[in-house]
Amino acid sequence: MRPRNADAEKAVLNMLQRYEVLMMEDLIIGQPDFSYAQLFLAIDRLSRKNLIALHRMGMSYQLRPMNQERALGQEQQHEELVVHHR
Amino acid sequence: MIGYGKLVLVVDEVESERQETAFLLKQAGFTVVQACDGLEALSEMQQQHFDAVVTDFQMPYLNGLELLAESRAIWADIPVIIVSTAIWDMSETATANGVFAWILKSSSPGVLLSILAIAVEQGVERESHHAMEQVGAH
Repeated sequence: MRPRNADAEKAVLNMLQRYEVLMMEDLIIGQPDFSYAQLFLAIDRLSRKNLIALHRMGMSYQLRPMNQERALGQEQQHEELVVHHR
Repeated sequence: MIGYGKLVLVVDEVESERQETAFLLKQAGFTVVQACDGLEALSEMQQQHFDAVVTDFQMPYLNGLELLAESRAIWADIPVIIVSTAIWDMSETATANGVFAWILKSSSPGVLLSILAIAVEQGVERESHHAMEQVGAH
């Protein structure tokens, strides 16, 4: 029996906690118990809740947890400030 | 461009929303054909093969799920992505009926484009698999 749609969100988040950054294809390959539709729905819901962010990488898309996204943003801001002060 | 050379059918009875989706897809390199309801969509699908279909759920004549079922008789392999305003409960039914993806209408553009990127890639893999089978058969 297929797991339910709600379980797909947990599975996506768990995988992102483990790998931090994932290509969409890797997520699909890494979660064979879920259908594409279940995983896409999970991605839609998680991005709506601001828990993950999607970035285009060439011909595909990359997923990142939002906390990492914020950390990257702060790091960039810090670098810009350092450059500005030099 | 993720959509370069790929043909997508966008189905929505609300012209402004259809145009908005079409614009987004064209910017990503897709060639877009538009239909204002399920019947027009089926007529388009009878005339040519699409790499993917992006359809609204609530439409006159045929809703998104009915269009999915009817389209299977014409092109069984076409990935159908249904966009809906809110009916989350239907997503389980849609999954069971073979929808490629079910997302909300207000999803971020990245969600729809990332799904289409996978749909298109799968189509290319399927075509090359068919070609290999045909070469092997001769």
